[in-house]
Amino acid sequence: MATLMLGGERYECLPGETVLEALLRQKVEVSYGCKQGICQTCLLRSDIAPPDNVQINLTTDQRSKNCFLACQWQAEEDISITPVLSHDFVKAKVVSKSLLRQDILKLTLKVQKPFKFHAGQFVNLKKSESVVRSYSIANTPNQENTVEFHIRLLANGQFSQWAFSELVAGDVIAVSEPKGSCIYSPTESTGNLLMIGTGTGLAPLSGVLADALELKHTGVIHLFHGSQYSEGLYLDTELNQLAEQYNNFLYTGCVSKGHSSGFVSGRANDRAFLEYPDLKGWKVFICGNPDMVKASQTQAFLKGASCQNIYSDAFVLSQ
Amino acid sequence: MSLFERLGGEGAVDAAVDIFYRKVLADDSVNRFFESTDITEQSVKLKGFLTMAFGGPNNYSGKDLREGHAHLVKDGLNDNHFDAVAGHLSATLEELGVAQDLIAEVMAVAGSTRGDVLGK
Repeated sequence: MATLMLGGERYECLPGETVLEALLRQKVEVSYGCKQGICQTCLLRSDIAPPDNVQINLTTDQRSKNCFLACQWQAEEDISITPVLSHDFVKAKVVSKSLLRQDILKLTLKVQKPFKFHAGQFVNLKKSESVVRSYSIANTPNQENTVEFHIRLLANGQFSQWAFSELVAGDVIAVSEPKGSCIYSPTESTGNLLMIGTGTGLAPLSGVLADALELKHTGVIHLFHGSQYSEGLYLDTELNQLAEQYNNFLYTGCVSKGHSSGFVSGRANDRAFLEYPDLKGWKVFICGNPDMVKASQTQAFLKGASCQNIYSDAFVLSQ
Repeated sequence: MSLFERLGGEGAVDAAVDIFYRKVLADDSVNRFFESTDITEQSVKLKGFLTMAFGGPNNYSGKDLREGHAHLVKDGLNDNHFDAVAGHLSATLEELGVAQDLIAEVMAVAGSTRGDVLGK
């Protein structure tokens, strides 16, 4: 068993338990979100160098300062922990709320100071210290500093329930600095892009798509959006309009359960790889359900896309 | 010239890593040992391994290989799997047109890791 020193107190970390689990079990107030090593909300600092696998996606600076993801580290030796001061949250005002469909909210925020981000990145939105959730940005950078999110209502979702029913225009909430590398690179505007998204995995893809079109991408862009039922293809009308407007943009809405006229039957990833068996030289964007993301990364790679051209964002659902 | 230089240095590793990784992932007898991590991360790891097998600059130690594969040995990683992966490495080099004597040298380096990889 390892001992964790934090704020002059000793806490025990049992074998097989992560630092986050140990602290929460012993009633220490600590911020956390996804518990999957993605959102970085539970970032802490240690007095000894943490193993590589608990520093995934941290910056060189954070690594050198021994920062680690508390939800990932099963500490086996004694460590002394210090909090990482969160300078990275900025205030943003709710501009508008509208329903994209019954259970998907489009939330638009205006950040109170200049906000630099790339379409396709994600931020953490904070309801309270203990309720922090990651959401992808669905729009492109703009002078008004507005950011849009597609928020799906979860039955027991502490953040989504609050966002749907309590948040009103004018409210101020905290937004983290943008993270993630699932973004469009304008340097290769002639290459082909394959985009695969399930559910609200469409949010970052629609941002990346808008970015690519605004920057006059000339290669083929084919977006496959998948949902169980056709009602889940919540930007169907808009995407079909874009496909009519731009010759190089194609959109396929896929329905995995049953048949719906006007849509393709089957999973979005299966349909995409069936249509594009050779992805040599393509860039592939995959966002949505973690299992789909993982399987599709491998598929895209086996079909010829090189590792550095596969961009993904796994959506982990937290209640 | 060192083995690494004769093979073509880092460029040769870059050319080999994707081909090698695809072969491994397409092989149902071993791909489960390569599936647990993110594809980009795994590719970086394989690049490190190939650099070592090619006689290039690396930080691999027997202890790292042993610790890094211990959980896979627990999951049943054995000589057959090692042979299959080694076979993919050799096929990769053939596909890239590497001369037989150089392939033999690479396979000797790779083969020397067997004890550590399998925790023997």
